[in-house]
Amino acid sequence: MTSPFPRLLIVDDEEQIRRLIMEFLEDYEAFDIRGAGSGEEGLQVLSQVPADLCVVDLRLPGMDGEAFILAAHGQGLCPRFLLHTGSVDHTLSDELLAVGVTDQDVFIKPNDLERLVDRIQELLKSRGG
Amino acid sequence: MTTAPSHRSLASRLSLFLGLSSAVLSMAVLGLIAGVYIQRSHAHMGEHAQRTAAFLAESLEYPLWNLDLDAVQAIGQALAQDHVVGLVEVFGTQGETLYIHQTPHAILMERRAKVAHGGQVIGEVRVGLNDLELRSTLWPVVLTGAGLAGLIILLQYLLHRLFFRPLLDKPFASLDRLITAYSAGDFSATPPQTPYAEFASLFGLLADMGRTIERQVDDLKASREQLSLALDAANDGLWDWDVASGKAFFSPRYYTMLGYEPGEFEGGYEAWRSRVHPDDLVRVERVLASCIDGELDVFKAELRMSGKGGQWRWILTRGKVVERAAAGRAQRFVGTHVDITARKELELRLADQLAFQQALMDTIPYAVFYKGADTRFLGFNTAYEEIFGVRREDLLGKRVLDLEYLPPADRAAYQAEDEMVIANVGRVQKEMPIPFADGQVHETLYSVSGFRQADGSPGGLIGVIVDISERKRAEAALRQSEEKFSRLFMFSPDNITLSEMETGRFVEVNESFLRYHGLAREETIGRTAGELGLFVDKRRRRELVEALEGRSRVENFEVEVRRGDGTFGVGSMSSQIVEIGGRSLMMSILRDITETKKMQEVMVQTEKMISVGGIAAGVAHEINNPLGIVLQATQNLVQRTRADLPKNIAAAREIGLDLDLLRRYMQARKLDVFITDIQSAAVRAAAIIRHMLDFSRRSESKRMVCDLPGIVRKAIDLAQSDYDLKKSYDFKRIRIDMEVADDLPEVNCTETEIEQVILNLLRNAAQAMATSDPPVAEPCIGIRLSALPGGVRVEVQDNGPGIPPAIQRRIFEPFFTTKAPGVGTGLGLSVSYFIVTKGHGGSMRVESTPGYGTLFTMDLPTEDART
Repeated sequence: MTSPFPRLLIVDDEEQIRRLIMEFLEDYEAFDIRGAGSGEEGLQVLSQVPADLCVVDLRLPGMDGEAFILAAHGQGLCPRFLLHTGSVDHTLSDELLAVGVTDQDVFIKPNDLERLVDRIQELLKSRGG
Repeated sequence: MTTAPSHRSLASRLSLFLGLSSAVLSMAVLGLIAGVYIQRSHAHMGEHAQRTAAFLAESLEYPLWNLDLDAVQAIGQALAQDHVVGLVEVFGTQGETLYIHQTPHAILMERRAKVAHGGQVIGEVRVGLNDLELRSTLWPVVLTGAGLAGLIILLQYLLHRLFFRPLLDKPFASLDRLITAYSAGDFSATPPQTPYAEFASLFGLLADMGRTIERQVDDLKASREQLSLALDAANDGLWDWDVASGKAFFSPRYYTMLGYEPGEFEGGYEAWRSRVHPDDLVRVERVLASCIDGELDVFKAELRMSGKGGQWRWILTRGKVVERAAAGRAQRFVGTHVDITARKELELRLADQLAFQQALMDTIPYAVFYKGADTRFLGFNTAYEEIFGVRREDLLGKRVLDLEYLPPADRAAYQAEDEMVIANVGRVQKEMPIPFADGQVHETLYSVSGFRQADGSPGGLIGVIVDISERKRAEAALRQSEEKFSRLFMFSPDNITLSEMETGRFVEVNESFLRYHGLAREETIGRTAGELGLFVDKRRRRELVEALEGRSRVENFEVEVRRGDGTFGVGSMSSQIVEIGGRSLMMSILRDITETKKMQEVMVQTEKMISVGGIAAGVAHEINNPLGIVLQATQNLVQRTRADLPKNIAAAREIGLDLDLLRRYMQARKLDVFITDIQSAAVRAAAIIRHMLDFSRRSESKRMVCDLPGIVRKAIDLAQSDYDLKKSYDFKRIRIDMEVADDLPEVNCTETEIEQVILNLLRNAAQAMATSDPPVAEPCIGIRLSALPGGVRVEVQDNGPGIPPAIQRRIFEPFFTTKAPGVGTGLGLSVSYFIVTKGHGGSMRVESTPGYGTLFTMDLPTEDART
């Protein structure tokens, strides 16, 4: 399965939120979008076809978002990550900073999705797509 | 003692001896004559025998040579014819008898002769002569001698009868009479006259002797009378014991002493022995035996003897051997008895007394000792022995000067003190350290007193050593404790008072009390709290006393008190009744808890804020997800109704929908407005939630050294340019005063947050002053920045209407607001509070007096003070 668009993976256990984000992004007709309800599922999806960027909720059942990011990055399944979290108390850990996540990549729910799309496009562009 | 055998006459004896001596003399003369005669006869006979033997030998020469035995026999018979010859014997060469002639008369002497022929011995002869001749000549001599002797004796006897009687018998008889008279005790007889010098001197001597004896006897009689008198006077009994016979003489007093009539029993050793106490007998008899054997000269013993009624009397007996046999064994023993029963009983009582005294001393748990007038130890008790590790026998008789275990200087000093106490019959009592046998120096109370003897002279001293180490320790501890408690009382930071229970008058108060109420001690003691106006409500004192009734103490009784500076304070009082010196006193401790109460309120507030903050953050987090769904769903709605989105166009075309018509429909039915309403409401809700979440947000990473005056000025600028403030609250009209201290320390902070806090305070102040009723004449906000030790204080003060106390307490609570709905979220101050306290480690509080304005104070610590 080949697609001309960058591949995105949305990892969020809240099915409605995941679906709304995916729906919103699909309207751009510029991304190849997949979804996963947990870190484990996300890794499984990525193992079939890697992604260019993952939007990850930190609080997940089972494996948490940070563990998922580190695992996916470590296996070379995805190079970039955006955090989409309900927690305001979160500070980026050294491990996350090490894989290239910055404060600008942290989005706190509820969030304006257009800002999220702007950042996604910015990151994909900077990579020179 | 002399025995007197039957007397014989000296005179007759004398005459008999004279006769005998004469007879012996004459016999001796006669014997001599007879001896000489016999001597001469012997010599003559010896010669005769020699001659006869020689003649015989010569006569036998040839017969023997010729062995003519008949001739020999004939010669022998011839010789035997002589009646003097009693024995003739001829022997041959071999010694064999050739001839023998023998008569029965005794042979007086014999001679032998050899028979020789031509120089050769051919035999031997023996010739014996008998005494016939001698006897025939001797007898007349003997008879003559005997007659002569008898005659002499007879003559002697006659001479004696004639001369001895007048010369000897008569003087001796008169001598005998004289001596007999003397021996009978009659010294009056005068010696008879005598013509002979020998008797005259003898009689003279005898007469002298008689006179001497007479005088001595008189003396003896006198001294015996004296002795008797003395013995009687001394009440002594006398005994005179003849050891050999066992008989004895006992004087009358001897008997009466034992309760008998004089002579009631016969005196004697057994009579004495049977009356001696069995326990004393062995001992006394041993001494007695020593005296009798001569080992001891004087006998002395104390013993018990049974009296007539069987009662025991104590007797002191003393005696002396007055006669001893040649072997040294006593023969006569004389002595006295003294009744010492009374003395002995006294002694026994004294011994009892001494035993009691020792027991008494031993019962005393302190070391007790006593010394005699010579400063020597007489005794001490067991406590003394134990304490000093000494034994009675080692110390008795010693002076303190002799105690080698003491240093010499001490010994001399103690000795001098002993002597002084004894001489003055004085008393010394002092506390002194003394080393005990346990090796430790004990604090003691040393006390000695001199005492007098019955005659008033110094008798010695008695001492007691009491170990007061424990007491001293206790005293010292008590003193220290008293001092400690006294200090504790005086310098306690709490107000402590002692007052009379009934009257309430102060008996004692401490420094803190005086300082607290601004009182002097003189004006306080003896007055009551009511008189001094210490309590704001005078009835509280009575309530306290009532609360104390039936209980020993009351604690944390809160009371409002008047301080020395005129302000009021809240005091927590703890009281209890104490009995001191028989008086019932109330001891009260008052602690000013005004500040504590305030602090408590702040603490409660803080706790409340933290928990409310926690809840808020939790709630916010949970609401975020649904809120996100709402927001994103509306975003999707907006996006999917857009007419320019290719996907929308494609989808609409597929179902034949005109997107433009849809847009117009939505506008006509205001669907787009509803969507916008939903969106803005969700955004607002999200903003509120964001604020709530800020409570627990840590922003340390964003803190840096900040310019507080600059931040304040920026906040003032923002407030002045805020449209809402300008329009609704007439911010321009408010005078802003700003004071900044020069020496502000550097403080780390997040500028935007502090700016937000100050802006928030300015907004609140402006709103309060604008809505004040009555209006504030000259609204004014003062901002002061000042240095604190380890921090900076920011004060924002307004002269608005102030905040009622009830509201002050809740002012920092989230969602607590007095503003109209929509005007304020009720989060401003609580967010400010968390920014300052949680985000910056500082503190924030409000003080307000209704009608006078409000002061917000926040203290921000420096980095150093925070860690």
